[in-house]
Amino acid sequence: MKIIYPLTATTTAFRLEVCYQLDEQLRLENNAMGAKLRAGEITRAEWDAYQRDTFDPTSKAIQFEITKNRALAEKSTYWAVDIKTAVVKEVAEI
Amino acid sequence: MAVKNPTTATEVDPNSHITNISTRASFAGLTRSEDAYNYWDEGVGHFSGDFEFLATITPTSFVGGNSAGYITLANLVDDMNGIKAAGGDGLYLRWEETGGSPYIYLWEDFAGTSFLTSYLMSLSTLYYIKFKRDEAVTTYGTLYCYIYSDSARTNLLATLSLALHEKEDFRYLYMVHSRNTASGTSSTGYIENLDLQEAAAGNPYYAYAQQM
Repeated sequence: MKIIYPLTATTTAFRLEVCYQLDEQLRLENNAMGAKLRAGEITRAEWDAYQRDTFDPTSKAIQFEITKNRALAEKSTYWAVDIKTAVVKEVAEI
Repeated sequence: MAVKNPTTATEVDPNSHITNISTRASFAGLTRSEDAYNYWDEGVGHFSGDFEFLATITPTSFVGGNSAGYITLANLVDDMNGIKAAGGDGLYLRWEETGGSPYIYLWEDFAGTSFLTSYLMSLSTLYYIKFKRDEAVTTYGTLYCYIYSDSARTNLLATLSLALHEKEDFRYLYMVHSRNTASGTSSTGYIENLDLQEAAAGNPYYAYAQQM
């Protein structure tokens, strides 16, 4: 499985946002299936098949892209920021 | 599926902050500045390839800046900081205070560098965990933590993942692990029902367990 990004998701930040949006959609889908299992609307075998055939491979594909984009973000030098001036105490801390 | 019994672990606990019963290892006032843990020597290279552990964890209370490990795989016997300082590698599920709140961390130490990702927890709440490694995903494998609110693991709260930096087999399993970084802050909580899922027929990791 792989993620097809929207054409305009051209930066690491945009792609990371897409990944987290997909991760949240998968979480909600998983929980909707879980609610059906608890309500007896699907069988344990159907739940297991969903986990094996849909949730696990989809989750791995999304998490693969999250780790890849996070690594790119961590190495980014795009912004001209300085640790000495960009991280400051809040009023309550002074 | 056999749940690990922490009374069978080797307990290093000079200040009596750890209490073990048949399925649960509790820690009360476990400070960040001590050397305390439960561990099993499972044999050289025992934890190789893929694995999927199940466990239930809860953070009960903390004094700021705390740090406590729930699950560790490593090749050295020491507190978490001692393992890192000795250049030892490890895979960790631990909780620490960040910005005044308790966070669960999925954590890798590799060659003296830490790699981590986290999720905000609530105190005195049970979290049902899948702690999993899949070596087929990314160059060196990926470590996952699936966090659920129910024991049947049907209601997912969050997924954490880390692309690992080395394919490494591990010998020692820890259930409760202190950090020991010279601070007096403390943690109270427990981990229970740690199930390595190694030898259950029909389990996807059964083949892996049979190779041991």
